[in-house]
Amino acid sequence: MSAELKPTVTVSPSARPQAALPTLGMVRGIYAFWRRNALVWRSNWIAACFAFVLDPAVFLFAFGYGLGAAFTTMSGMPYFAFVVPGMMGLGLLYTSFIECSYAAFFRMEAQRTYHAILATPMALGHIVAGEILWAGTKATLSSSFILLVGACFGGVLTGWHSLLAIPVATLTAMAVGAMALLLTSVSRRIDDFNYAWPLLVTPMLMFSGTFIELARFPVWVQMVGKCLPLYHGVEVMRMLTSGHNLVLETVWAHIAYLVAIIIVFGALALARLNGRIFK
Amino acid sequence: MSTTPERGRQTMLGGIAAIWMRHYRVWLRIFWPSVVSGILNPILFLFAFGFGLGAVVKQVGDISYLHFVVPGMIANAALFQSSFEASIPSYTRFRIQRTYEAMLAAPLFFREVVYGEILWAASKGVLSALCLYLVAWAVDGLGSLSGALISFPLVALSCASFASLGLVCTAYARTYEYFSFFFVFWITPSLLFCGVFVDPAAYPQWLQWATWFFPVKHLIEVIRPLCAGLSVDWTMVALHMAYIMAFMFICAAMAARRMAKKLFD
Amino acid sequence: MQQTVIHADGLRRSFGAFEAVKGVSFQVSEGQFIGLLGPNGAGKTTTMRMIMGMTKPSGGTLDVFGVPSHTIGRGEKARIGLVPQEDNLDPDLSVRQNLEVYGTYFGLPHDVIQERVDTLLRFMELSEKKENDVRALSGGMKRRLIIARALIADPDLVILDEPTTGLDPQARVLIWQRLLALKSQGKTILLTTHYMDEAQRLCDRIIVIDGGRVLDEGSPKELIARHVEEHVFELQKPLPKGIEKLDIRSEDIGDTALFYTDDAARLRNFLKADMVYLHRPANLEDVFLKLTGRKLREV
Repeated sequence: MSAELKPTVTVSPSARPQAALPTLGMVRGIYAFWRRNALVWRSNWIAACFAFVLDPAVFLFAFGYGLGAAFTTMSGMPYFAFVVPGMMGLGLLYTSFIECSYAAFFRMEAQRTYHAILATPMALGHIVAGEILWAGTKATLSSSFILLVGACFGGVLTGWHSLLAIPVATLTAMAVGAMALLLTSVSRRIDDFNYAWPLLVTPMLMFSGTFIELARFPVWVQMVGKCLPLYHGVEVMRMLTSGHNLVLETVWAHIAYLVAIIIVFGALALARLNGRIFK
Repeated sequence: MSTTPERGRQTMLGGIAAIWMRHYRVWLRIFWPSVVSGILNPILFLFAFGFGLGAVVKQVGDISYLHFVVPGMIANAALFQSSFEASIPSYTRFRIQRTYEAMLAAPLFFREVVYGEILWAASKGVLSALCLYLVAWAVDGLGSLSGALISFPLVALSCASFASLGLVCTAYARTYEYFSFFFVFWITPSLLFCGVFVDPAAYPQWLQWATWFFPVKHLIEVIRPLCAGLSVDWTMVALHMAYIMAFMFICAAMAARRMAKKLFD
Repeated sequence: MQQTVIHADGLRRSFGAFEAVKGVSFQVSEGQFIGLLGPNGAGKTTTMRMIMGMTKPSGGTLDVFGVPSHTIGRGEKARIGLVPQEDNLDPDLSVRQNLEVYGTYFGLPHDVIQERVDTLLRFMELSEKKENDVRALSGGMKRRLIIARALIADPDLVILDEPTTGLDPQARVLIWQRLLALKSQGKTILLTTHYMDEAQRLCDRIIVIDGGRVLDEGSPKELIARHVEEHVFELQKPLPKGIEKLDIRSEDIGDTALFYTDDAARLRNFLKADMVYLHRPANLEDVFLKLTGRKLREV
């Protein structure tokens, strides 16, 4: 009751500041950063959606027609059915790579958003996880749209369980995002990302079975392709949308690989960013 | 004052050259990342398409798939590099870093800044195309060396046209997100529907007509027979190039008009 | 007779319905150090942009070196050095390259540029930082580099738009010294500021501007003598009883009141010895307060 004796400022319970919380929980922290990105995106979503949703759909159309004329079937299915999960992969690759490389670098260096956030009870781990999760979110939107377009034009051979390809796309995008974030953590200037195109993005695009099956390339190229996360994501998505070679054990093995990539590269990115920001 | 201070003498060409040199000096600092990706990326594309598509599509019309795809890739590299350089990087200089305003406080005129910008972006496209010519030459992807040499200045000229379109986007964009439209309506259709990798005959008729809007389609139409060593209809070459040049003048005028409004109002 | 460098007469500029500059007239002669003093939004930057030919006046006349400002050509621009308010240094270039590249915009010969860059880096005390990235410079250093850049073509007229806003006291003093050095070299200087101490310290003549109009102009001393009493007493509220009976002009500025008088002894006798108050000479801040009823820096 001693509080009544002192002059006090009454604060309504809802307006009580964050400091009242003992610690910022991990989930809330990650959500806070994710929400920050989502708010920025929402203010400009039409322009922002345009490229990453429509572009892969245009690719789907172009490859379906253009390459479909050359390859009638691929991997034992009609070419269009083959290329639908491939284009989901292309969409998530670009969306997630750009989000965790150029956009993240811009937030960190030009806007100093990370520094501003780290002055609050947020930790760097929240930011890293939030970035990767946000990349996954954007990629989910783009992949879902392509799946829908593909299904409308008969490119999906299975029933409702083809929808399971969407969470797989999210997971794959997070793996790509974690790799991109590691690049961000070691880049000195934005132009350093130029290296990533020939060394990472283009190989992933070409040698993950996105629009040409990997088996057509020399063995050493196949080995490179199989190390990259996109290959595993596209394989699982293709099993789910076509029903070909669907073996549960294989699915789980691919997913385990993706999860491992997220954890390893996420941790490396966190360590590098830690050294960079708190030097 | 006893002596007139040395103030230099600026001319229109000098002004454009000064702006070009500024971009060149900045670029020298990032020389390696640019060159590595400029050479390695097309090699990967050639490899992937050569193996993947080339194994199936042995022949397009009278030429091998390799001879078919090389001019397409040259035109596409020129298009991507030059119009990209005039888009997001120019926007950064124009709206974020306010480099143009600093330039205009010096004895430079607005149109020199615009021409300098286009010329620089075109130079990057030319360099990119040159990388591809070299790669193509090394893998025997050029059917006629003399034809390829004739095609080079035409590619260089077209780069200015591609750059002008990029600058139009820079002039009209309000935020970086607006460049989505640039990719969806310019870069992607130019890559996919203008005959870079696949014969456009595979696409529906209406689409084949619609894509004549894109200057890169005209350029590919011009350089493909040249590089492959086929017979060339010079009247058609002149008409295609005339379209590309007209596209450039219209875009440059649009960009300059809009930028002047944003800078001086 | 001194040459007129800038001549503005009834100068106006509107943006849509908003009139930023509403009929401003002033004159700047060769070798003068002129201050445009006013709060944010007074129309200073718009006036500057019109002088540089970056914005066309909507009315009135504005001649720079005898040429209407919106038609100034290379010759006139080469004689002006501009220090803009915002930082538009080239972040992609080093400190030294920023000056070199800017020199090429003027078409200066290579050897002249090299020589001037070294001199200017020394003059602005940036020699040690010459290879640095401009992004790594402090606010004060960036500002010094922008001033050095404006001097690359040895201009006759230097225009500075709020050159010391946001800088720490030492950085401001260094810039002030350099500006006075430039004046002694015979350059004409036009400075905008919302710091009255800066204007009072540097300028030969001050043009007080607010809401797009010129309120008054003259030397700092003239302006103070014309508008306010010699002594100022700043008193914290609550005010002592009976002070209103002294019939001294006062201004209420929130939790403090200012009393203006030429007879300091009379007021000091009234105030009791144990009271806390501030007695200071009148300055331009008081002039501005008298003219507009508002404090300069709080607008």
